[in-house]
Amino acid sequence: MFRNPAQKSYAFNLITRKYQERLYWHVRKIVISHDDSDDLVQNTFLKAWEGLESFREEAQLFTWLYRIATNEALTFLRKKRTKFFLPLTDVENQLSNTLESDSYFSGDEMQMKLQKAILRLPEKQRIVFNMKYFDEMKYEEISSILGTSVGALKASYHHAVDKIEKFLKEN
Amino acid sequence: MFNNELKKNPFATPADYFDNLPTKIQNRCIVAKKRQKTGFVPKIVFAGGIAVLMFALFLSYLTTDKENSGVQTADILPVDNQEQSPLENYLKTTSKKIINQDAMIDYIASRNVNIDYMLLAKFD
Repeated sequence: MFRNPAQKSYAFNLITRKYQERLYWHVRKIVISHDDSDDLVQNTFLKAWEGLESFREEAQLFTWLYRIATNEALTFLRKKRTKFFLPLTDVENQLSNTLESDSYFSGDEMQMKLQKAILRLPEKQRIVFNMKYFDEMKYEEISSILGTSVGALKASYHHAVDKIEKFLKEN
Repeated sequence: MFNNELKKNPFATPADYFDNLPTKIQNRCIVAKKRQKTGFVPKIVFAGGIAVLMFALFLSYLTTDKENSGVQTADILPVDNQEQSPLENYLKTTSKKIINQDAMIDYIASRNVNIDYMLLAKFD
């Protein structure tokens, strides 16, 4: 279907409508700002459109899209860091400030604290925690997206939970 | 500690955001498609132009007569001193003229010229 030019647009439109929300929320939890997430989700689908013909159908479409979105979000954060010569903690602080001033944050005080605790985690742990806790994905799925072993993901998730619990108790 | 309330998505989007997102994405895909189509032709034209220019330069290098390409001393015509322009002649003669102030004052005195009148006339 993707290799047929006549059907490609139609198929792509269906894909966009089906996965846009899940990809948006995944990216939003990584970069926090709505505007940045909007840009990154559009870039994700644009890259998917350009690579649709070469998409190997043995890989799940959703997994492939998730991988593109994750890479886009991580690249965005890395660029931000190198562009302004920021250390890791400053990017976390920036994201935390964005969270506090975000007009599209509808959570309560406890949810705000949880998000702040998540932002203090290292990038990989943060993504693993979000995918496991909020998106309720299986370790196998996360493994195929991030290219990390299930064992390493389990360890990452448990470290993340420990750190978040510690942060919430202290605050 | 992690209850179900915390699992709820705390983020929100502007109204109708997900209704408009597919259109935005499609528009960007159309733009990218056009750019891909139009971007390819100018690149070929540019590369072709460079190739033609290089070939022309190479041909001109090959066809140039290297032995006679330099300027020989015998080719330089000697300058004839008689064939100077009128301007050159004028400059040569006038630059050597020196105005003798004493002679001028003697001349004015001998002719009884009123110097005050001359000065006034000059500044009017």
